[in-house]
Amino acid sequence: MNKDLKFLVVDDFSTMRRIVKNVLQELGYSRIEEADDGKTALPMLQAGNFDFLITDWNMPGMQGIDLLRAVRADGSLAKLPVLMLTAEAKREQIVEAAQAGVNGYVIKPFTAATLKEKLDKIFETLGMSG
Amino acid sequence: MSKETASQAIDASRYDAELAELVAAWNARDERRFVAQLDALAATHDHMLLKNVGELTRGIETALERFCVDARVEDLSRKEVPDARVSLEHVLKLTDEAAHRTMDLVEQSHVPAESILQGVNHVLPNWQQWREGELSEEQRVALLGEMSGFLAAAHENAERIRANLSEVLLAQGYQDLSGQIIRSVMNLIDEIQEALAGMVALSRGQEVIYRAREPVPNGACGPQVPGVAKGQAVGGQDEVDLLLSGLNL
Repeated sequence: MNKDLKFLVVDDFSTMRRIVKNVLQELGYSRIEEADDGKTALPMLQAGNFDFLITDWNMPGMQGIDLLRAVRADGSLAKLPVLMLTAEAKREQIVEAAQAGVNGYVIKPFTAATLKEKLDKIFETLGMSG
Repeated sequence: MSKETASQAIDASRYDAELAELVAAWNARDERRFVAQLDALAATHDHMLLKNVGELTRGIETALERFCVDARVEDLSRKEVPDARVSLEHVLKLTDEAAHRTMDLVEQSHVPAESILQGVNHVLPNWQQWREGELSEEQRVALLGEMSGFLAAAHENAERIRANLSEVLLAQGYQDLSGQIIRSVMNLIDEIQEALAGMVALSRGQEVIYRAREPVPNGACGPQVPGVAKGQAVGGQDEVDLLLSGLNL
């Protein structure tokens, strides 16, 4: 398992960022940074050698779906694994995220086991060692 | 209304004066003055017509503003305010459940924590005696047995406490979910305030500053609330997985 992977956790609620960060730490990851919306996250991603993006959808400023599209449109970030972690539960939204190139979609409220399972699945699909 | 009547009376007197002047010019067979007076009369007529069109336009504008405000207020009162109430009830439920879940986990953690403490208290005197060389061989063997049992139990109890602490952490996710719902209700209250201010302005014949809200871009609508329709939604993670597997993800 590669515990050196660098994560960016994007959510406008600091409580949720803390929860995700703690779950990742319990899974053994220690390189975790945070951003409170897409607008803050994008320059961090462009500058920061991140290996994985976990983002909310509903945020002021730049929403998660727009961040996902911006990542996919950016040559240097296009292949970054993106997991959406959101309360947005409409079928058309999930399809929209899939079409925009999301690698995983976890609905809030979630369990630590679900988050781990989805991360592992993405690592496996992309041939990464998580 | 009295203002309108007064302005009509003024315009009628303008017609009276100009017609009298026209007739006088005709009677005097003063062609130049007659033609000039005819032009003046036509200009007065045009002015009156424009004024009426202006009043009509203002009337339509007011009616449209009233219609916009009325339609929005109706929508707010019939659907969005009742929905907001249901949403806030859901927030109450979320916060109640999260608080109980947290307290349950804390209470459940007392048992293994207490068990570790009792185990320590049980082995500590013998442990102390052994360190001070006061235990017989028989007592030393018994202590080793006690220590093995204690360590195994402590390991299990610590695992239980750790799992409960993780659950406590995740239970705090309610703050995000309820926060999103409360934020949407706050936006609704802002809009109601504007709509009410618009109605007050209309009733006083003042200009209306009410503007319809722009819909949220990219359709983010926050957490699903039972009883509040927000489009066709999935029931949980299993349905998300099913939907995504159908899309080869």
